[in-house]
Amino acid sequence: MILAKTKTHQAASLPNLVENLVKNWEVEASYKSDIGDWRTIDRPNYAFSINGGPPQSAEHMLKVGTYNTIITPNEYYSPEYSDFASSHKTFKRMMPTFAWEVLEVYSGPPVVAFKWRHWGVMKNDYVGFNA
Amino acid sequence: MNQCPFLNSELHIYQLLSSLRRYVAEQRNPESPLLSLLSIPTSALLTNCAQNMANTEVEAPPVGLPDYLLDPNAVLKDISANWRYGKIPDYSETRKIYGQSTCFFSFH
Repeated sequence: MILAKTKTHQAASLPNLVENLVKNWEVEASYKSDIGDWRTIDRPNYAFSINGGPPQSAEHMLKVGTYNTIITPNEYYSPEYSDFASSHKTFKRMMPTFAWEVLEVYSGPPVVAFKWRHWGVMKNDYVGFNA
Repeated sequence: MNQCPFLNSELHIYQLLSSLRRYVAEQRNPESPLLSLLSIPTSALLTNCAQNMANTEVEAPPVGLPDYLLDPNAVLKDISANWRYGKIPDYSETRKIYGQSTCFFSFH
């Protein structure tokens, strides 16, 4: 496992812009409690979906939290039994710092497709709820 | 902009190689992937590092782009926003971990 970033993008290059945008979006989604304060999304056109799942609104993400939006029920975790606060505690206590980088951008605007990775150290036990 | 911190001084390369050799010796793991890296001459590492810089995309300076595209911490400066738990979150450690990079590992 590589515990360091593998890319250093030129400032203001497309990979750098995408990386900055996603990092700011993650901050807003995780910590700005008023959708009106989010600056990184175009509200009328914004939707979030993952792995071909249904589109989810920013309001829904604000209500249930980023982790519960992303993770579907499984053997180790269920978003149905963890709210915004508890879900964030589950993952942030386990892995306090979760660095993130863009590896490669495959297409530019208006549709941006890219590959990324994130990494961190599991400093505490994982404690999740699936029922 | 200097993209590779180790180009600042060849001394860093030698220091890092020395540290890695000590680490590998302590681990005594004959299958360590680091062994193949340590077999690369230092001069080759410096050359690869320079090529990484040369391959970096260079684009025109942005005009009128919003701050959240140019600065990963842009929204953390929104002091008037409504923040969960009543305060702006501290991302300093996460950003610090992110910033601990090395061209060394990108050769894999």
